[in-house]
Amino acid sequence: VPSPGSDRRLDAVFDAIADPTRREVVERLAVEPASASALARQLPVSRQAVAKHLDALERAGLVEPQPAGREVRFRLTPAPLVNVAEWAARVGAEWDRRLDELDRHLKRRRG
Amino acid sequence: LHYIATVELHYAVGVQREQWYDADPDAVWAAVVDPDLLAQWFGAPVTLEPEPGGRIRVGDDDRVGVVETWSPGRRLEWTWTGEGSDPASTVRIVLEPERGGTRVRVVEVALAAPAVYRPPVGFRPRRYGEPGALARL
Repeated sequence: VPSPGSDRRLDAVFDAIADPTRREVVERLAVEPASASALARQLPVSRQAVAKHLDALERAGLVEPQPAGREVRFRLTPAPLVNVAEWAARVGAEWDRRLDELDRHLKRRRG
Repeated sequence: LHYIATVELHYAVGVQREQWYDADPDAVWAAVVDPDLLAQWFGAPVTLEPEPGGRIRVGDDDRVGVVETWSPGRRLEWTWTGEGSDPASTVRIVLEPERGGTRVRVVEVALAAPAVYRPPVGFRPRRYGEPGALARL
């Protein structure tokens, strides 16, 4: 049973991955950890913008900063994405059931 | 129109289902808004105010939403506000005549924290995921 806390987290995860740039950051971090500067070199946005996106991803629990020498690298922590997949699977199953019920309802009405 | 398309592309996390029914769109519409079927769908009595801006309520306000589109025989759309245990989402049910019956497409899209997103002026979303899956509707 999800707690209110985990629901807020799910909203944060949806918010985080709704943005195309953040999804691209997630995709790149899935390959290997990277610093904000390294990400800014690969993406068509400023380092400041990347830092803001990394903040949002960190709040959603999707990335984790790791000190690496003088810089900070961000590592993908994809566990919260499982909640998104679970939401989609549950909602999809609900609509499968509802569309079958609609079929039975129509057949009953027709007699 | 641009604004709606932008919102759809921005919030691309969702599910889509479709099924064909051997009944015309008006009959399918009557079934979809039938209180008996809605109660079965959502596991409790549902009240649905039949107009844009109307409320949809499940049981003792277990789930509450706002009707966005009420277009009999064609399209029903509402947004769950996300109070309670579920995240906010938009549900869209589109009916299209096909082969003497009706194709029903349902899309439920999860909304991120702000239920209404207003893109900044000049914002041009890029397509990700399944491009056009939502725009088609």
